[in-house]
Amino acid sequence: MNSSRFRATMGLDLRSHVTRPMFWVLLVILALMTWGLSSGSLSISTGDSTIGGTARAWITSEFSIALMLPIVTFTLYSFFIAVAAGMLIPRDDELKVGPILHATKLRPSEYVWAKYAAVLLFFVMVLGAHLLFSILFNQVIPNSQAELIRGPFEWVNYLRPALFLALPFLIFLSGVSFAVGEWTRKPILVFVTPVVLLAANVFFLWSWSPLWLDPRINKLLMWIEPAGYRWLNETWLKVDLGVEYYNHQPVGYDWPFLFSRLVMCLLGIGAVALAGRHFAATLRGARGDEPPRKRFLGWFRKPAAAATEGGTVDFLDEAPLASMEMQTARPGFWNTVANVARFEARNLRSQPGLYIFIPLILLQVFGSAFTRLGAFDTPLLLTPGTAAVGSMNTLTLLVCFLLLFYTVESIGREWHTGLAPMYYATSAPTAAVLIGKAVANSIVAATILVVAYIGAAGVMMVQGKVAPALGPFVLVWGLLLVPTFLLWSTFMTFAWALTRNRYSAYTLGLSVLAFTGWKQLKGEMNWVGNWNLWSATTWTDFGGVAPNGYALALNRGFWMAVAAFLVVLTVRIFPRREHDAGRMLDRFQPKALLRTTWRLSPVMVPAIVLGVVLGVEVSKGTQGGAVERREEEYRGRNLITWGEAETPWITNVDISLQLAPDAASFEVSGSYELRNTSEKPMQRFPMSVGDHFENIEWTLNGEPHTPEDWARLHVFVLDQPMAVGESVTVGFSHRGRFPNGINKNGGGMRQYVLPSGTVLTGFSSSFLPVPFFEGGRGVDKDNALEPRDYEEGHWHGVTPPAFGAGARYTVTTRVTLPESYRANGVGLLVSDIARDGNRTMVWRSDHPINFFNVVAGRWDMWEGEGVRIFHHPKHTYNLEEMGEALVGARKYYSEWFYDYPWQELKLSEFPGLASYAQGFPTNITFSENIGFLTRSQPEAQVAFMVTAHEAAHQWWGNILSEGMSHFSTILLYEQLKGAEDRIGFLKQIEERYGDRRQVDSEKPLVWIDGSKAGDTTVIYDKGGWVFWMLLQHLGREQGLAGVRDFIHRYAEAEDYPLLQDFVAVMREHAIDVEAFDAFVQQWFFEVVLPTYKFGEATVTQERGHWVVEAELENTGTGRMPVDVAAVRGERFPKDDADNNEEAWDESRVEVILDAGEATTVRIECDFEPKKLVVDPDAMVLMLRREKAFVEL
Amino acid sequence: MLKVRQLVKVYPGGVTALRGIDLDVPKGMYGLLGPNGAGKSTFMKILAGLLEPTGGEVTLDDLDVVAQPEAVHSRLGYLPQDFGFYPHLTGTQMLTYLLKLKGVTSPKGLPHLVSELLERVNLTFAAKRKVKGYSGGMRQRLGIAQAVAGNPRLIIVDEPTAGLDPEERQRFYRLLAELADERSVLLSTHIVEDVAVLCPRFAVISKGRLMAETTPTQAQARLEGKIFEGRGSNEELRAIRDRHLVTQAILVEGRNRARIFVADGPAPAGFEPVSATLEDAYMTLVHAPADDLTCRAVDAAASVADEAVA
Repeated sequence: MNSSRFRATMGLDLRSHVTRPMFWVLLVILALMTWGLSSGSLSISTGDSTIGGTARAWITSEFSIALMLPIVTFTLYSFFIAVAAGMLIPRDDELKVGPILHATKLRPSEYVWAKYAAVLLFFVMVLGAHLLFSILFNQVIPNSQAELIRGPFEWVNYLRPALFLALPFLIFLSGVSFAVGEWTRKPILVFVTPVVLLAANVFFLWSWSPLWLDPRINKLLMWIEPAGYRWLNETWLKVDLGVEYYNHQPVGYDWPFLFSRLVMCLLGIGAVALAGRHFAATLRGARGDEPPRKRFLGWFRKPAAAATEGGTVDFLDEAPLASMEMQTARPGFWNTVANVARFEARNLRSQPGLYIFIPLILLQVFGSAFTRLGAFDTPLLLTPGTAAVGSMNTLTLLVCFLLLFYTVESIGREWHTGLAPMYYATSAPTAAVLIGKAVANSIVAATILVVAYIGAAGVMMVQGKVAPALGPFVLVWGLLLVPTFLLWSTFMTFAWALTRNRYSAYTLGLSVLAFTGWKQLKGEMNWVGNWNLWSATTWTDFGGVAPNGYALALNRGFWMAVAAFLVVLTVRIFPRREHDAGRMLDRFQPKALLRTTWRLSPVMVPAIVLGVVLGVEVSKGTQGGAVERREEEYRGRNLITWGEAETPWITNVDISLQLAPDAASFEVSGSYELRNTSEKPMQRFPMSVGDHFENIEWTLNGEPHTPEDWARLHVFVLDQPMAVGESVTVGFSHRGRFPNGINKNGGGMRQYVLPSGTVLTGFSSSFLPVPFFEGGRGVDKDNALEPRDYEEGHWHGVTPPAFGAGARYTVTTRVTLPESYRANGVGLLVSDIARDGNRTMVWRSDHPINFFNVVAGRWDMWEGEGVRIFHHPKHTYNLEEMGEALVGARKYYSEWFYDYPWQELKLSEFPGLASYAQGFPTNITFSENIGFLTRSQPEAQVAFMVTAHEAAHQWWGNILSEGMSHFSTILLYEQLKGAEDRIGFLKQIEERYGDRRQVDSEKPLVWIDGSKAGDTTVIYDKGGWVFWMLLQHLGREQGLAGVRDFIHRYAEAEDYPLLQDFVAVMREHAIDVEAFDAFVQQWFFEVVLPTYKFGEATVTQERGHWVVEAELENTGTGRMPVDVAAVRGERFPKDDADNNEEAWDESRVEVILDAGEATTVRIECDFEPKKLVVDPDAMVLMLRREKAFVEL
Repeated sequence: MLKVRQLVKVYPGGVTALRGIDLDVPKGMYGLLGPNGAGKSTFMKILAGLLEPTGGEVTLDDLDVVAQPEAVHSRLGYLPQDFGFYPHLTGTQMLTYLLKLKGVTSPKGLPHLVSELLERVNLTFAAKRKVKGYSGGMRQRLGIAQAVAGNPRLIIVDEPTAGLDPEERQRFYRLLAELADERSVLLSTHIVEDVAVLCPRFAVISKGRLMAETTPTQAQARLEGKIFEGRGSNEELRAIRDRHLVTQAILVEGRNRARIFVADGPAPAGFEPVSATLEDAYMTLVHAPADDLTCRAVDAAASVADEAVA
């Protein structure tokens, strides 16, 4: 290799890269992004982010840089690298410089390596600039948060992540893109690599890490992920190591990972080497440019007789042109569309890129959209509707990518090949040509949809539960998705016509996609701007997409009108005839512009009208500006006065509710009996009403009353103060539409009156006024309150509940609704009368309750011993499993905790417009996505788990609610399913706690109120575990006796019990109070988490016994007695006659280790042990259980 | 009839390609001669409706080409100077597709017509071969086939004989001559022989100006007695060039042989009068135009162009 020629070629290419505007755009974007990130918006999820919290993750730590670099380099550099490296050889082909270049002394290898070196060097320079930007913005430019998020400057913090994470990715992607471009010489195929990587990473490698994933497979996925983010996340970030650690420690790059980066580099370099060989072969005239398939077939073919050049034909023998009787007429519009579409489709069929793109898209769709998770990470059944809607985002993004490339290449093809002067000198109408091309590209998109449907149908058939109906796919994909593709094709054609440059059109298209995604992520998208309906569509088997139907219709209509406008505009600016610069300027004169606008008005007006209508609907809709302002006014006017004010409690509710599902409306009249439970007389009290309430009328103790209206909080001022313990009766009547208009950007809703079903609760003013200030209304990022810090001893005395009523009350609910519906309320059904097409059902509480709701739908009913399940007629998939849990819950929870006080226990399914479940007394409600559509397998009965948890709320109400429900589920698992399933569930919630807790800001259990990041997993998962451990600590009988005692004292009390109250009651049942206090101190009042790690382990045989000795250390915190077992065989063998699994043997010792303490464990066994396991029965909550074992 | 009036084209950056061309192209063959960069291709592109002029009018049978370029396309056959094809298509597929876009039909059907057209341009043997395997001449012939297809009122061919061997060039000449019987055929070239063989009238463009509009005979006749041929050394020729226009200078048997235009006065020593050729006429028209041969006042046209630039 001649260094002078190499340097000359490389230098020339490097200058060319540096002078291309596209890459200056990249630098500007990098600078802006780095500036934006320097505010700390992308940082490690750790520390304490509350106001006053000083433990913040630094943006300058090596971990922060290591987190930022893979994400930014991957998402931002990929397409630029693909264009720059992949198009090097194809561009020289287009410029036809090859024959001259390669007639010089320049060798193919010099040419290939110099070009690759130039592009790699260029991106290394970009990376260098990126790091300098980071240093500048992170360390130098003033930042209001600097003290909290900036650490000292360390070169190494920037250099090591660049070297170990970013650089291997650059080498890999540039090498592979270069090779793809050289090998195929097709621009579209160059984009396959970044699209594949983007799809694989964003939808799979970066996010897919279920709790059950085999660690070996996880390791493999970390190594093959080119950006290194998965490795960083799974190894260092997923389990929160604390802000101190992240701020001060270097990233520990392990050797296998470094080796994988080396392999990435070698793959990139190897790809270039292969491309070099191929290029040299092609130059020498070998059949290098022939596709491998043809080359292979060519070996078997007879050599074709060389076609001879045409012989000389005497001109006197030639037929005159006139004899051909040629005629010309301007081809018809649709005829041209068909001709162009047919031709383009045939052309596309021969595009190899399509056969790579389509399977990848389908793989992605099946991999992500069809493996959705529901509540508690439960896998969901694939149904036609959920499959169609669930795959929309993925399909939209990937097909838009596909269309971006294919549209640009298709429109620009005539210019790239040189056919344009002849092609556009024909009389084919421009619009027909463009539409023909768009139709062909749409055929590709349609093909993808058809194949995706076939795949989805296949998955459903394999599931064996849901029939693969076509209707939902036609509705969702046909009416919602296909218009997106048409619009996008139109836009990309417009982009090309506007820029007349392939790369500029790509940049414009990618920018629009990125901007749309950014607005979505920021929550600033609405129905008007959501051209691609990302995350806007919901599906329910009860009513399809109907809840958002009106908004969807307007949105599609608007964007199709925009597409039509774009078509007309594109035809006008399309460079079929090269415009004159002078005349162009004339066209921008005001008069000319007005004339053009007038001419375009027929296609502009529909778009403008529909856009304005949609905008107005959004603005006055449920999340529109008007509502937002009123809600803010509600909060601003009342927070100080009523936020902490004592208000009367409900003692009786009596309501008559009329539902009109088809009109999404209701009318209600009724009364509350309110009692002053405070310690002083009450002169006034509030009644909050919903923003959608109309015609509100009030009575006070039976007399008409006009309260003061404080921005939808009606204040009742009494003539005589309500004495302590005294009651008043407040009557009300009003009506409303619910939802009252469209929402902002689609998605679900939690409460509604809709044809598909009705869900209304007494928690908020959804259909009834509530006698308190609603703290959740009108909250935005500017006026949200910081999580509350409680004072020591705050639980003493009467504590008000976090939500719902403090004392139980009685409820009578009369619901009138169309006869085809059924309404379920709390209590007992006392009458059900049908008349004139309507049905009136009366529900009355047969025992006091503390929450109430009304749910209505068109259901079938499943009945078990003492329980009923009301469900969608087709949702019978998990009924038996759910019924088993519900029957078991009623029986065993009654036995363990207290007798179920009501007669009925029913569970009603509601449309999956939101995924949640609520346990109202006697009337549990489940979204269809919870339990009913859960993909429950015999080995992991998740429908059972979900039902057991939600049923437990019947006993626990809002007292220690979620943790106790998990605890109840653990007990029910053991009771009905056995130890294996109980251990499985415990491990599952333990791992979730390990993954989702926030080490630095995690508070002891007694101080958790759900308002801080990371609280949820503590309340649910740690709560369930701690109650389970407490039960083991006290002993089952003592523990359950304590629980019963606790409920007995607090179930009917006005004092809302907190964990401190619970602990106090349980202490009375402890035999060893000192040990109890030590346990409680650790698990309730402190944050501890043991982590067990084995050191060296040996097995020796002594006198017919085996002796295992192993070092065991508690590298975590806390001190717990824990079993260590030497084991062999399968503890829970499968029910499979053919299995040859070894029988289970175990030998245990108990170990107690303080934090940081190590010991040598010695276990004698009379069998040859294969493994040492810590805590085989899942009795101690620990971190990284998967590492607390050793193979012997 | 194609009429061009005051045609001006100024490219961004101020490059003026056409400085006010006035031209009438009647039925029959019409040549457009000019040196490289004279503005011929710009002129042809404007006529073909592929380039918007800065000013001026172009009408074909009273159809306004500038305002309605697409209306002209159905009456047009166009062979540009630089073009390509979809490389992966065969000659038959490519031609069929273009004929469909042009709306060309034949009572015997399109496949038959395509086959006949390919035969007329001597490409039958390569009809099933992919275009990417075609030689330059074969591509040119395929381009010719699409240009002559249909029944266009105007055929514009820009440097059509480039890349054709002598035999194919003759074949093409005959094809054009046949076509010119019933329509206007505008042939743009810098090869004087093409015009000499085919065109009863031609125009000369240089530096964006129309230098002359005449017939080959007329152009040659005005030079009678003014063209001289002789031999000389390089130094002698340099001295002659300072006083006379050299219309041709070639090496014959290792010595310079030159033809010169002597507007008036005696010829240099050693130079004998000879008959004028069309090439002599072309050179004198490009470099020393005569008012009697130009159709319009060039100066007036130039002032239009200057206004457009301003």
